[in-house]
Amino acid sequence: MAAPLPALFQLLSVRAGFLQARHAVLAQNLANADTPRYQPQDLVEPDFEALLRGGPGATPSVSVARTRSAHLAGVSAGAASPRQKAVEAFETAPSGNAVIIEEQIRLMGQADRGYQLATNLYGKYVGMMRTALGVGNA
Amino acid sequence: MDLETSMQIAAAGMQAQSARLRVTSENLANAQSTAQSPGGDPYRRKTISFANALDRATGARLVEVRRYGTDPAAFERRFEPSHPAADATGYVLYPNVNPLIELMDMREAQRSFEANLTAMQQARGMLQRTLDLLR
Repeated sequence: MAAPLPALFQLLSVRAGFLQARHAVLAQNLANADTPRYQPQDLVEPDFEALLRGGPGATPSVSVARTRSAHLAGVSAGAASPRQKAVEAFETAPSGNAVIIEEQIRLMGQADRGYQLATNLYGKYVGMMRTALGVGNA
Repeated sequence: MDLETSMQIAAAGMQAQSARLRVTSENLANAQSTAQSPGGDPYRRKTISFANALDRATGARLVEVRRYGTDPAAFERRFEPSHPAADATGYVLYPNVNPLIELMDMREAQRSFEANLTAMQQARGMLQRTLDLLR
């Protein structure tokens, strides 16, 4: 059972990164709640299940091809920068602003709970590893 | 975009809302400010407009005050011949400030400010939980 754990850690950190980015986008919507003609944004959720199974899409990052060994591997943002999408507006104010504060707060709470789950799971698995190493009681 | 960005955006939002609150209180405070000289124009209601501003350092779209404007609505005319600012026919111009609108505006600014504050508190909580992983 050595293999699944690192994949899980990777999954959890990608998930946490996604939720952080999503929180920032939602904060942006809230800050622009009174900006004329502003349309709320959200992020497209990456396929976390494929990432965990190790199937296609397990490594969502795209890297630069290297034709010589002396070439440097490019740094790619990968899954840490999910695509941004515009959300269809439920209600648009006369000023052209379509942000509904309640909706954004709800989505933010969702991101917050997801983050809590990810960090707690991460902590739990670290604890399990420590137990396996015999320092669980230390 | 990370949680620091999130907090920066929320701070920009709070700043914009407090600027709006300041304009609103200016209007309320001057709701009865008539002209200095007879027949002159009284205080004109001020307005504020926000715009989306891209912060190139972080890639975040913050909010900032685009411009302070004035409300072109007509002044209120009252017949008060004994008033020091009355014109030759005895009419005084009063500011085009409607306290009810200003109060509603103030309440809206307060709510938006609170929403931004919630965003900041949540980002702080998330950061805190990340740091708790180290314990």
